[in-house]
Amino acid sequence: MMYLKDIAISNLRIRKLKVFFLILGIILGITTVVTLTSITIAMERQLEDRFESQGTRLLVTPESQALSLSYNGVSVASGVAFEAPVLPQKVLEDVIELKDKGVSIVSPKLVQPAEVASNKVLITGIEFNSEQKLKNYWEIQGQLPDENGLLVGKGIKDKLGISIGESFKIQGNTFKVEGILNETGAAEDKLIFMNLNKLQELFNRKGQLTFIELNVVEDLEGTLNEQLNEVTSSLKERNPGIDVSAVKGQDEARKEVVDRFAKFSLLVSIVVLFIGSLIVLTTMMSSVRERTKEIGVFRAIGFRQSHIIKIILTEALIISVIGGVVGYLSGVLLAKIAAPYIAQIDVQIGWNIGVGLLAIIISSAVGLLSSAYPAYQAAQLDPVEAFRSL
Amino acid sequence: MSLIDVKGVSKIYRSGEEEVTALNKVDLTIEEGDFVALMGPSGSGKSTLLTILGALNPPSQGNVLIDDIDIYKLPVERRADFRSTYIGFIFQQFQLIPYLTAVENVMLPLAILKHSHGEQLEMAQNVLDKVGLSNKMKRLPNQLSGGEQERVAIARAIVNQPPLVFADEPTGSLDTKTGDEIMRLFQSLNKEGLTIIMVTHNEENLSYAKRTIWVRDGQIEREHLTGAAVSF
Repeated sequence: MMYLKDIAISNLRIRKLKVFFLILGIILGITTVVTLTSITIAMERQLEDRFESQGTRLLVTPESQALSLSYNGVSVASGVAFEAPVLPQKVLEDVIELKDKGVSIVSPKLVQPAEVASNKVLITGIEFNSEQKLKNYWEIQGQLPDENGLLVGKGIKDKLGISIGESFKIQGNTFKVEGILNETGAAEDKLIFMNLNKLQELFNRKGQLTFIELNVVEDLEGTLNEQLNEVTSSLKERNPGIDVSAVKGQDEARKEVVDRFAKFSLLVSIVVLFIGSLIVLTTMMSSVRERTKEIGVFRAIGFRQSHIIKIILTEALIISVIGGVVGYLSGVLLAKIAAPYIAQIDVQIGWNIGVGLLAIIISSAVGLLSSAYPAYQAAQLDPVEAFRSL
Repeated sequence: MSLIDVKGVSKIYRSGEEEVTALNKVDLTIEEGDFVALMGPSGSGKSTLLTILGALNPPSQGNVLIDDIDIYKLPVERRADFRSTYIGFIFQQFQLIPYLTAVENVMLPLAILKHSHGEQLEMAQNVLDKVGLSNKMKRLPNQLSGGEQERVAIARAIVNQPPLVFADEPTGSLDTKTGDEIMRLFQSLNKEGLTIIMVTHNEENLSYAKRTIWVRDGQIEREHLTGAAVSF
């Protein structure tokens, strides 16, 4: 049969090298888009899963009594307190009672300045198991300490040259370093951790806490926001002298990273697609120039300008769809390989029909838009000019 | 009523400040069933006349009526439609589309007309049969001899049964024997009622045509009936 699409297909079959370059231009663009989009989607999905399972973190602290002083905009004194604020044990009991309101993990802490190996440090007393559940990004060399053990943050370890197995005297008692925390980039790097009860006992601070970290997850009864509000207001009602605030944890920080990565991916995708479209434009322009005689024949035997345009755009569409499909397949494969390195995630990158369709739509749009001007140029060829060259 | 009526046609080409008059006030009529040879030296204007008659090249002055239709008063795309149903072209050096087979080349004019695949194939096979090439339908142009390519070009020009065919140097690329075969084919098609206008340098071809028109310096110098007209 002989319809316009058959002319387009037959032409593509014979110009293999040109078609190869055209498809390659599209593939490069689409592969980039699909790779970055797949990784971004996987990162967002992983975050969503985390948020769902881990909810939002709250910090319960004593109401701040710190004062500050500034002269002409220059801060001369800040955080000056009348006395070191503490949370009484009752607050912890009230928090634990709220477990039916979505409170999933409770981690009380006491921060105590002390001297270790002739250095002033801050020791934080924690319940190791609860804290590890809360801070699931912790990577510990060695092991989680027992009652007489210490967990040392990376910063302190480097500053004091501490290694696992070393022992220190604190308040006359000997404690062994059983674990070292890998760098977190947060305050934990500068702390030494020990068992909460042990610290309270050691410094005669039984029943005292500096703050409580807790996790609120969404349950079936209400939205996360409603639960957060309920927990906050309930705690403040029962304990007027406390502050309850949401913490920007690792996941919130990661969300910012993911958002920035998504924006960066979009920018890179646009640039690469633009380059791909330039490859298509220049190759199609050259193809139209080579086909002056052929197009002249078409026009002479009665093809309208619209017929010529349809032939060129049909060729562009065929190339674009092939480029889109191959670009999608290679993009997903590349994402599977690259995701652990780029995004440091172990989420499975899957075959997403939505992304596949989007890839084909984008490639078709790029191919058609880039070929619009060459198609127009081809249609404008005066059949007589082509006839003269015949 | 003549099939083609040319009145006061001139064609002036402008290049910067330079003007070239390719045709100067040409009057011409061609009757249905004519077989006209246009002769003349290079630059005489015969190819320009051919393209103007073929509804491809608007004249600077004058009118061209084909079947009483003033073709250059038609909008450009309607003129293209007119060519697709009324006129067949046989181009110099065949100009077959290299990536289409013989039968696909012949079906090319049908691609823009509303024929089913079955109708297209039937029409193409009929004309290939007529030109003696039904056994080489699936060959690409580079797999055909010069004479065979010319036959495919002829088949392509007549597949949609136009009343009028224009041929530009149809035997220019062929040896004498093959050229004669082609001219006999033209004659046989003309006998069936096809009006043929042919540009040629080859005086031997004149004996196959019914009329010869000499063109020189953009004007019709002379014309006469040839032996073929007399014998008809």
